[in-house]
Amino acid sequence: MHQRTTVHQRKEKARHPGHRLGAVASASGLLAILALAPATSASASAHGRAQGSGGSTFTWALDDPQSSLDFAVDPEIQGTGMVMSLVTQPLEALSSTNQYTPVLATSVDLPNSTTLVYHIRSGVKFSDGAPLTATDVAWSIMHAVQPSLASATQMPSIASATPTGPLAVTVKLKTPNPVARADIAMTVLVQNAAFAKAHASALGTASAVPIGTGPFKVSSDTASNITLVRSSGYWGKYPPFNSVVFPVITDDNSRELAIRSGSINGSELVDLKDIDQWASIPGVSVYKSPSNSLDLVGFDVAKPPFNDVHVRRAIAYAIQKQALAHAALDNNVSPVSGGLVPDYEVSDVAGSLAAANKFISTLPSYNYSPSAAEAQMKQSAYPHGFSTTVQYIDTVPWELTFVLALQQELKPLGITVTPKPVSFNAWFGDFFSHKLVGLNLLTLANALVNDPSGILTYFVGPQGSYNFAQFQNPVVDNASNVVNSDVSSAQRWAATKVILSQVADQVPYIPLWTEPSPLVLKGYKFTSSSGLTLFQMTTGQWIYDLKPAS
Amino acid sequence: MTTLAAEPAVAVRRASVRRLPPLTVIISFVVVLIMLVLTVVPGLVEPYNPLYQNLFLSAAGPTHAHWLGTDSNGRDVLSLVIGGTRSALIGPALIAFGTVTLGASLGMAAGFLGGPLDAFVNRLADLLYALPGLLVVIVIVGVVGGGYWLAVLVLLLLSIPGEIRLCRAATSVQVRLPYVEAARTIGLPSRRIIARHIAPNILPTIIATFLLDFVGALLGLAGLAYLGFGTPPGAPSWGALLYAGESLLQQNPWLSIAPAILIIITATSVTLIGDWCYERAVRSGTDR
Amino acid sequence: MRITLFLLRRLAGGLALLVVLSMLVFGLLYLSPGSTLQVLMGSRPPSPALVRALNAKYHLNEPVVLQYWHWLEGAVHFNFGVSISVETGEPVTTLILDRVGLSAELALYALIIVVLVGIPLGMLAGTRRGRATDRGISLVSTAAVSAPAYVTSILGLYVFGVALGWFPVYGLGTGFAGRLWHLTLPALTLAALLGAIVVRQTRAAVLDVVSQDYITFARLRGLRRGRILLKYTLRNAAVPVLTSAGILLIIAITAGLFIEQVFSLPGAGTLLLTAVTDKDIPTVQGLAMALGILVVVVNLLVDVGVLILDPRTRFSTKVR
Repeated sequence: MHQRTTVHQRKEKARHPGHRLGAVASASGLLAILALAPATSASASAHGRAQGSGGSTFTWALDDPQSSLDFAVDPEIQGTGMVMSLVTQPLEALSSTNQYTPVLATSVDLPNSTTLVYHIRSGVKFSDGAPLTATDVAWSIMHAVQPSLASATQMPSIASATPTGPLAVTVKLKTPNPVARADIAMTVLVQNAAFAKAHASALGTASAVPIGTGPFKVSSDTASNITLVRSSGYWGKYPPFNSVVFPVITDDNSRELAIRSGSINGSELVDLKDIDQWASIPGVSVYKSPSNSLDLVGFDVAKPPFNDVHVRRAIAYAIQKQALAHAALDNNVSPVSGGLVPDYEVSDVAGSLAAANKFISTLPSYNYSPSAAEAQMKQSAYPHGFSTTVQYIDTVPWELTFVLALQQELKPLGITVTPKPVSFNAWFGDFFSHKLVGLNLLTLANALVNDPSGILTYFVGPQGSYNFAQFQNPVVDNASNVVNSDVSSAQRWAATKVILSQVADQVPYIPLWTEPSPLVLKGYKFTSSSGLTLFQMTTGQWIYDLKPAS
Repeated sequence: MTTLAAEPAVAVRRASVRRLPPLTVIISFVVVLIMLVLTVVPGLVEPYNPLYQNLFLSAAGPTHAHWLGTDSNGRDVLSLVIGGTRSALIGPALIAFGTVTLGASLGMAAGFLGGPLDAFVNRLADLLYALPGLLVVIVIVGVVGGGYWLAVLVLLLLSIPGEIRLCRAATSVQVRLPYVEAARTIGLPSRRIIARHIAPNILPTIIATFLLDFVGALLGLAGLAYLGFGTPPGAPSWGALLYAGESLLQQNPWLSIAPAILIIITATSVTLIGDWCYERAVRSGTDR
Repeated sequence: MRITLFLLRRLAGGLALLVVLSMLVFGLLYLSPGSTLQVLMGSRPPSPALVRALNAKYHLNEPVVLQYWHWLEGAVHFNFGVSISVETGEPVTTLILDRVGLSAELALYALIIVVLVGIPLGMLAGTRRGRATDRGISLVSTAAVSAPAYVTSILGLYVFGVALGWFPVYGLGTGFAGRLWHLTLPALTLAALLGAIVVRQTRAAVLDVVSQDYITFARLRGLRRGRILLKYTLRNAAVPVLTSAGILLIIAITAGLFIEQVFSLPGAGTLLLTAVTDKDIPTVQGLAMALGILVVVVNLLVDVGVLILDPRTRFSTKVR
């Protein structure tokens, strides 16, 4: 049972630099822990010092400066992960199909349920010439577990990592945890321990960039630009580039101009509405990489007026999901209806996608209907409406469009909506501490593994760490416990159905759609037509998946 | 930017015996009149309610139904720019009015009375005159987060010193003229001399600076909105529309072009009228 | 002697401005929402070590007046602390110095264009008063003054950069020629605005000078137009134009901010915008003080310049 949840953010404009959050969480059983990356924010713009396509420099624009080049401090996959996985390497590379490929560890023994023994590759040298030892690996794992660092929340079960031979490291777990190996693979990038200890306070800043075993080393690091150059004596096969440059360009318009002018070879595309505009640039390919990030609306069901189910249903009926998908995201999304999560998240426990869909289609789906909304409001305790403030994150492009549309649709129901911009950090701070009130929009909640315990149970019950609706009742709580326990698939499917039915009936959440994560390349193509997965980004594999455009 | 417009007029002062081509001034008056109508009764000309959204028509180009197309929420761009006239003009009008009232009274009092008041006001004006007003507003509104009215207030405060200097200078010229001396001799109270004799004489100057202050504030507030400060979310505003349109240039360039044109023609028209007022004032001054 | 006194008084005025500005700038900490500590921590997690360090650095436990004193002490030595969100941990002074060069290059480039084009045009308009040339130049310059930098730069970028492809739309180029080429469009945009103002100033100043008796006399003496223009008009018209340098600086700084933003230039203007939106108070404070110093210094230089150019003002300093 591998579950992994990420919430990540896309940035919009320089003038609204918000904070990017790379949150990677792993869940095992009932534990759902999230990591908040200490976020830095945006510099208005940055110049590409790239040499353009061709040659042996690859230039990838980041949409946000990195707060640290220590992946344990800033575990944002599409930022520090992409950069530093070329410098510091993981022990193993995990793929989206749960396959492990050896990197710095040649093999892993699992002698019992709380022990992992990593056998380290011999003959590997750091870029400063020092040999890679078990001490470095053990230190790197324990570094990532340090409670003060963001990565720690992703590795809840690690008790200790100790060198048990020149090239062997033994990891002990507090409790049996099937995702511990995946956690280590995804979270730990091995760095030179002696260097790190000598520069403990400055580690990750420009003056003390972690030293790794990868094909590149960092030659310069500023808020506007990170440059990697080939490290000599790399143990593996070099990627076909002498240097990799990451200019930080926070503004979508600026990034578009940069790719147009050939100053960069590629970047993430933040605003899905811009896809057509970017795709129209000669030589540019846009990849709608599947991130399957879920966007949804949630209500605080514990407090009035949203403790009234009729109010929630009325609002559900008043949302023009299809029109919004068009207006806010240019139809680049897949609508989610019935229940809470996309069908494939529950297909495994259901036995098949068809079985999952068969059940989901029986659930009420609240298609846009002003008359049904009105009827629900009449039955509510607020037949004449009320006033409420709806927060939107000013750097998430679709949210303002959504709130303005909501404002218009709820007006006939007597509900006055006041939009209020908030920063990404402020919103997610409240989100994780369950301090959100009223109606809220959640963007980009992401499950990488298709299982209801991946994301569905995050949203319900007292243990649900995404449960900003405070949605709990004995039936749901019990079902959530069953889904997260080690029982038969049939039992878990039955419990999943209970949760989905409860959510569909009580409407603590209104699922909207899933978004792709578009990537843009000019002069190059990805070997896969679907772009990159987060796994490729955090293992350094992505640089090998580029090929020159013919 | 508030101070920029006021300055050229000072330089033009002695220069202009010549009449500006009246046609441009007439056109300017017509433009300003239209803008006033749009500010007072936007509903008369708006083809739609500017806030009405047709999500299926998001960021569409011009059609017969929507002459300037729609924005990303499917709102009619023509109605939006018309609706934005109010926020574009009211703040600047208040700023210009406040600047002129406060600045002129302080300036005239200082210039007329002289002495410690004059010295104090003059120092204060000298001090604040050198500050780049719009940057101060960006910093304050950006950090404190006050919104439109805070921006208006700060811009108002920062444009007063320039006005004080101007009116003080104009007043000191008047004070030396015989008629003021005469008024003093017959024992008229200072307030009366200022209000009845000096103010009318420097009125053209005041009107001209009013218009130029207005232009400065118009450009400043729109620029602030362009940067994302000082407008409530979703409210029609020229600066905000200009910004929103920048990323939708391919879908509907009018979202940017329409507010850009309005900003330029409004500002140019008011500047031309201001220049014309000034020249006329100077001319009538020399005729006297 | 009097001149020294006059300059000293101007200097004192400038210092007073800086003191007032420093109070305002320090006050930003207290104006911004959230506690001072919160503001200073930015997005960093509140570790005890950090809280201790900030308390020690900013003397947060002491009275506000003392805090201000400590801050001022640092500010006098150009120490504005470290950036809290733009480039966490980087000294603000370094950050500013890194970015200010580009802004200066842009301004200098624009200034050269203005001097080479704006002043001659203004003189032309002034000497051809009332003719078509004058009317044309005056109308265009009025429109250019009224067109804000954010409009003209967007227009320039998309018309001449994206649509026509005449100029680069992004980046800074490599080498001197590359940099020059990449900065041309932004510099032209800035020069259009400044130039328009200079044209108006010059025209007015020339009109003023041309109506003076000594010009009429020179003409009667049969001196050539060009010679009169250069020898008398230019020199005498230079004073009012120079006096407006302070205003031009303010306009250049403000317009430069928008131009940097639109053209994605990593200058001081975009640094200020980023710092403001990121609530990076130390960086905002440092930039504001740097700006204040620049304004004061330029205004002083203008005073000195006017004294040198126009001996008459040396007497007028006595009057006050």
